[in-house]
Amino acid sequence: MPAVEIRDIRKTFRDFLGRRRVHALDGLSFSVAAGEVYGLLGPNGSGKTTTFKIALGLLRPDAGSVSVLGHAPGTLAARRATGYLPEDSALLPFLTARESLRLHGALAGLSRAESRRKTDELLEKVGLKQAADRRVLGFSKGMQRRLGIAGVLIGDPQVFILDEPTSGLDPLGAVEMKHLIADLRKQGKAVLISSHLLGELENVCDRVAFLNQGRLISAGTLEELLREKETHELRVSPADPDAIMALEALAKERGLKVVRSKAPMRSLEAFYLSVLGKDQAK
Amino acid sequence: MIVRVLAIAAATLRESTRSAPVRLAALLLLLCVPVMAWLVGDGEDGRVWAARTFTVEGLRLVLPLAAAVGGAFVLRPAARAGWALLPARRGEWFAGAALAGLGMILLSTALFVSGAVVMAPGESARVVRPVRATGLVAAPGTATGAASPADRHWADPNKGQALTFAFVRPDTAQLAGEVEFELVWTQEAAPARGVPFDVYVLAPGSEAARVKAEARSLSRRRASFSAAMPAGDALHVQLVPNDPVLIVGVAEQGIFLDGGRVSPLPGILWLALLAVAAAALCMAVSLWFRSWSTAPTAALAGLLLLAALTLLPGIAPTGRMAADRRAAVESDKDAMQVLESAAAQLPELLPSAAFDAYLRGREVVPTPGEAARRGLIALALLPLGAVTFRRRQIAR
Ligand SMILES: Nc1ncnc2c1ncn2[C@@H]1O[C@H](COP(=O)(O)OP(=O)(O)O)[C@@H](O)[C@H]1O
Ligand SMILES: [Mg+2]
Repeated sequence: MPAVEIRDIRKTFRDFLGRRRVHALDGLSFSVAAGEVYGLLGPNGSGKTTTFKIALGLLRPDAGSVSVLGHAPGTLAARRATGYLPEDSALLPFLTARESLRLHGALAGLSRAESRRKTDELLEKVGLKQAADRRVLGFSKGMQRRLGIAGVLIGDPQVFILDEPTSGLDPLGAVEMKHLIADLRKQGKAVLISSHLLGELENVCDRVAFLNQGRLISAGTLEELLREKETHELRVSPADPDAIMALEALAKERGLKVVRSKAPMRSLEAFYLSVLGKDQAK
Repeated sequence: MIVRVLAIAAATLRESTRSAPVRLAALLLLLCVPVMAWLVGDGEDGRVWAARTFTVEGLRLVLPLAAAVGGAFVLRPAARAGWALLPARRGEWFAGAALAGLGMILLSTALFVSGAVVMAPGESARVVRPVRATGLVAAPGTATGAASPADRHWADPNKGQALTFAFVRPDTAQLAGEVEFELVWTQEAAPARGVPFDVYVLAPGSEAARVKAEARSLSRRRASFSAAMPAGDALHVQLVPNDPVLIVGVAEQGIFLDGGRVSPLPGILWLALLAVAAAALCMAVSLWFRSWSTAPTAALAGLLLLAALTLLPGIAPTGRMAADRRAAVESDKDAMQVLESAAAQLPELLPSAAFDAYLRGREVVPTPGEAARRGLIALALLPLGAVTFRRRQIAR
């Protein structure tokens, strides 16, 4: 049984007078298994958030069916099994971070002691220990994101639905988020995430689906979708110019075309993380 | 479910009490009555009067309206953040928000009343305990035998009619009392005197001991009278109309004797209870509207309806009394008059009699039924709202 199964859902938003205005979803189907990270990619307004809300039972689809661990969405069983991080964090601004998490804990049915213990643990984990007793009002977007994810984690759900989890996070936060998602996968949770930034999903998702105007335009594992079958990349070390020239010559001799040959660049992210690491080590 | 509702209520209450404007408002609530009484009141009596006025108007007008407005917005954090906190159902968010709203009403009432109570302990702030008539001795205008104490009896001066009320002698040195009356004009003429009747005090049985009391006009439809206390356990008060163009109507409830002065505190607490019940009702109505739509327009529509319910009886140019009189005198009404009397018949948000009594320095008679009725209606509205809120799709 898949953790989340979405079959042929359609959703049209109507205006006040009941006229059809936006075809937000137009026959969307996919499913997410336990222990799998599934990414929804698509431009703004392509229907990612709408899909999530339907999976949570916050919106009702016009047609199609949804099940979460075999339950209808919105039922108590489905709600208990699901953790949702909304696009805009949805926090009560005048509560402190600690109080917010306690509220989440109480709603998730934890005992007082357990809620207290988990709150401290999670504040540490998401790096908000210093800000634990500050009001959410003054938090940056990234801090709110971190608090939001802690709130989702406190109930230990089976299915995670994270709407643009990395938006607003600093690069370190984004990397931590990716580690966290990888952890969840290891624990056998099903994770459904969305993003409009392609690079973000690349390293975390097992499978991705591309949405446009409410329709699935392509889906599959990263391997299937991204593998370039025509070319091959070979990295050597050390970067000895003579040996490389010889390799290129050999390639030409064998009838291959050398498409690119240059010193690889580190990504800006990798560089940032390495300098930050050095700075923090000081 | 209960645990979740309570957790949500506690969080929402915390949330609502923490913003700076709310704290300022709390301070203002506490200081409102003392400061206003001090500013407006001139002398000891003036201050007492001002404190009474501000207490009454705060409880019967401002509190319900504030509850209506607050109800429209108290669901806002719950609606914006709440639905996303998954394990709780949206109905639970609704209930939690309502509970928090009730908490806010109780808190603000407590603050406001504390301010009012500070002004109450003085000797001059004490209120009159009214001694009601035990019955009507002679009633020329009574239509049927089944008259209730609220029914007015009429006396026509041209037929030599008078109204006589029986009392148990109050425990005071001087006899004093008040009459609320209605008038019917029999001709187009201005009233000749301020008080259109003479007041006599009689010891029952002996016509000889008939003493004319000193009568004073208090307002258009109210007069006070005083006389030396007659001997004996029982006494009668007789009202004799003295203006040939005016028929005078008085209900058994409309006349009372001064039965000594008592502390106003129980009365203030009763008024507060009534006001809390009415405010809860207002909040429930606007929460219910809000459960249909979180859009401000819908909240506004709810407020308008509520304002209509709250204020129309007050705004209607003729009160219930006047409508009664008109019905007694005229048989055909034009459309405007029909509308007026319909407006006067609308259920009142608050029983105005209790508030008027305190405003006039009288003891407030406890009416637990009135408070309970309003509280129950509020309670009955909440599940309805919770169901609608649960059924609703929240897209954003
Ligand atoms: N409540 C709503 N009323 C009308 N249209 C909506 C509503 N919510 C979303 N939409 C429309 O549905 C489409 C999909 O929105 P959404 O799922 O939020 O996109 P995404 O999350 O992919 O950016 C958009 O065109 C958006 O304007
Ligand atoms: Mg979105």
